[in-house]
Amino acid sequence: MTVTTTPTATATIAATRRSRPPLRARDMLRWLWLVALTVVVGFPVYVTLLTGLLPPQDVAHGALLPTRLTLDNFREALRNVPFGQQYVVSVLVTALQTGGQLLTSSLAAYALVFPRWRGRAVAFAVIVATLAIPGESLVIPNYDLVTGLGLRDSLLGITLPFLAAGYPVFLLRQAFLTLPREVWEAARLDGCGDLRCLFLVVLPMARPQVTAATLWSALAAWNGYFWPLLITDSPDRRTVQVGISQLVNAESTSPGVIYAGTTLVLLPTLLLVIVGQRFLLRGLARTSPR
Amino acid sequence: MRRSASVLAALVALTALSGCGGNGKNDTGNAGRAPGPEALKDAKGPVTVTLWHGLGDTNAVALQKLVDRFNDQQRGKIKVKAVYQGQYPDVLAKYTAAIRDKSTPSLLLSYDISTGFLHDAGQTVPAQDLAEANPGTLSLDDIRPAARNYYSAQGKLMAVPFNTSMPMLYVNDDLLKKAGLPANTPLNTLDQVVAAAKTVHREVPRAGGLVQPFDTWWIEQLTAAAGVPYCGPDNGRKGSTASSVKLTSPQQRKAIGAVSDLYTSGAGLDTGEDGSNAVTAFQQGKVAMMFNSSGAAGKVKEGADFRYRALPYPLSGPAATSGSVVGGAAMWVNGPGHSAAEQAASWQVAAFLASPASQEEFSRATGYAPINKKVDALPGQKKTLAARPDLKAVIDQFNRTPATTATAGCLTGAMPTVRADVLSPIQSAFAGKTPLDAALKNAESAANRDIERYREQAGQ
Repeated sequence: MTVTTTPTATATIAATRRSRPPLRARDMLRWLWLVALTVVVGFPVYVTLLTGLLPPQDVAHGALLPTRLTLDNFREALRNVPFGQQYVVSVLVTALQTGGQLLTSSLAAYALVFPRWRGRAVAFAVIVATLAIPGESLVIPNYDLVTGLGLRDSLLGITLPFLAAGYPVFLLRQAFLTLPREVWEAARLDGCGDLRCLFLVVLPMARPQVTAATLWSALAAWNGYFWPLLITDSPDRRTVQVGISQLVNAESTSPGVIYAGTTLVLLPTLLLVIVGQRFLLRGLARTSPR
Repeated sequence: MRRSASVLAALVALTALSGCGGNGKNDTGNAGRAPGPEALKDAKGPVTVTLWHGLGDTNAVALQKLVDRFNDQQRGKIKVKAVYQGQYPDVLAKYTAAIRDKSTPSLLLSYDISTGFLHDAGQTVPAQDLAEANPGTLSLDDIRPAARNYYSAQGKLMAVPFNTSMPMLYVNDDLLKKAGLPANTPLNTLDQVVAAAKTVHREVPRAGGLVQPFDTWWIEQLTAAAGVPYCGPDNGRKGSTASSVKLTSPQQRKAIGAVSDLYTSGAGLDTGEDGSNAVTAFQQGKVAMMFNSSGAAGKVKEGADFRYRALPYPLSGPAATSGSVVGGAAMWVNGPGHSAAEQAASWQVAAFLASPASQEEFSRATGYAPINKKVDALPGQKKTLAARPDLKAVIDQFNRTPATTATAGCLTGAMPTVRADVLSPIQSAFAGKTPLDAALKNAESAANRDIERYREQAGQ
């Protein structure tokens, strides 16, 4: 959301720097709209950061401006959960799962779009149909499978059932369909094999959708909770999402500690977005092959 | 969101159980064949006991401390590995999956409403048999009757309670005074509480009279405090398993109606399902009284800058048969797939965690009520209670609660689904959208469908 509005933001800033003509009503509106958006997006992040730093009394009274700040909540969160180790697991799970999904879905989408073969439509329908199956109903069969393979409590066990997913296949197939087929045919005539066509011709042309698919897969992998919990048994083989849940006290929760834990999990992700924004934008903005 | 997803997952896992694990009969394990201390003597090397639990935050830290102490004492003989397995519903889902591939933990700490399911699943050895086979470890008579009653079926103890809580009434004395109510206003019955709540709402601008977390536990509590069973026959505790849910008895109608009236008249404050939100409203002085778990006492204390008291949950039925139902969790020793030595070792762990010294320490760290009666006589505990009247109120209520059918609560494996399905009709009535009688009837028939479906799956 913020990401897509930023180009306009920079444009607006540039416009005001040149501000020879006075601000027109339309610019004012645009500014107000951007400020409103920033508040909507920024406020929850602000509350999370602040509540993590407040003593319990101030949290109870719903303070929105800091009077006294404390690191107690962070200490408590770090004392209860091995966040460092779980962070590494989460990053590895996200990398493995996202990589797996991108590889499998780009191969599948390529096969569904470029080569002509009978039954393509049926195969695609079956893949799309998997989107209608709720994840919960797959938990037990997946559990049996992974346990049967002896992969419980391992990185591979967490990621194995999710190395392929229906949604990115759908996303990339739609993307490949919009590409000019002639380019692909030309590449084939020049003697490119299927894999070279996919990686050197098709994927670079579909960069925005590949970026979108990557984001979707990475988010899903990062936010997984129930499955990693189910299939792992040791605290140090778990993801941060499972770790955070351990900060919840069933009978009486201290919001400060939970927000502190959330901040610990959020910060690196936030930094990644802020640092990687430029690349993301470039990926999203480039819509035509050069 | 995550919580509801995990509940859903738990229900899915429960559904998946049908036809496996549960033996369909109302089995209380391999009666009389529980392993005794000799089983441990035969073991070569230390016996490993895995303990699955759903305790988070400070509770988990306190439990780990006790486990570490036990491991030090039993070095070379028993080694306990305590593992957090998510919040309570997640623990249950994981346990259900574990039954399928025979990887259950040696010892399971599971929450109150899983009791019916665990009893039906037939994976555990009754605590009573283990206590008899291991004399001198834990005397069951030391367990507070209210808690022992909850975890018993057909008069036999199935699991050892570890952390127990009770519903309480928290009162903001400053607000009552502001409303012109005398300091000794009696708040022992539901009618008295309702009257006081209405007075506050009328006399003090912008103050609510009563707040409670909006979950079904409170409907169960109102039922027990009216002295009637929540399920038939006899809450599933006596001869046969529960086959129906009751929500429309005159006593329930009166009690639930009194609270519902508070909400429809505006004297009741709705802060949603999360108990923490109710605590926050109470701390901010927005509301004069709060029903909440005794487990919230510590948090209330953290932020309240006014005079307040914790009082027993008010009754609406006769004191001899009515009272509160305990909440919390209990320890189940698993049988199938675990060696006799492991079972005997698990029992040693359970007995240690339920011992007076452990219970005193855990209670002080967490605010849960100690389940062992002997704790009351410990000198340290007397000092603690003198400084913490809120904790004392919980224990007094525990000791005053009669061990009757009503206060045992409903024993059915369908309890998690029943709880989920009763909620929305009741919420709708409290919001004034549906008449209460219709809502109770809807909730009752939804709950009965749940029980029927469960009994079919469990082959009862």
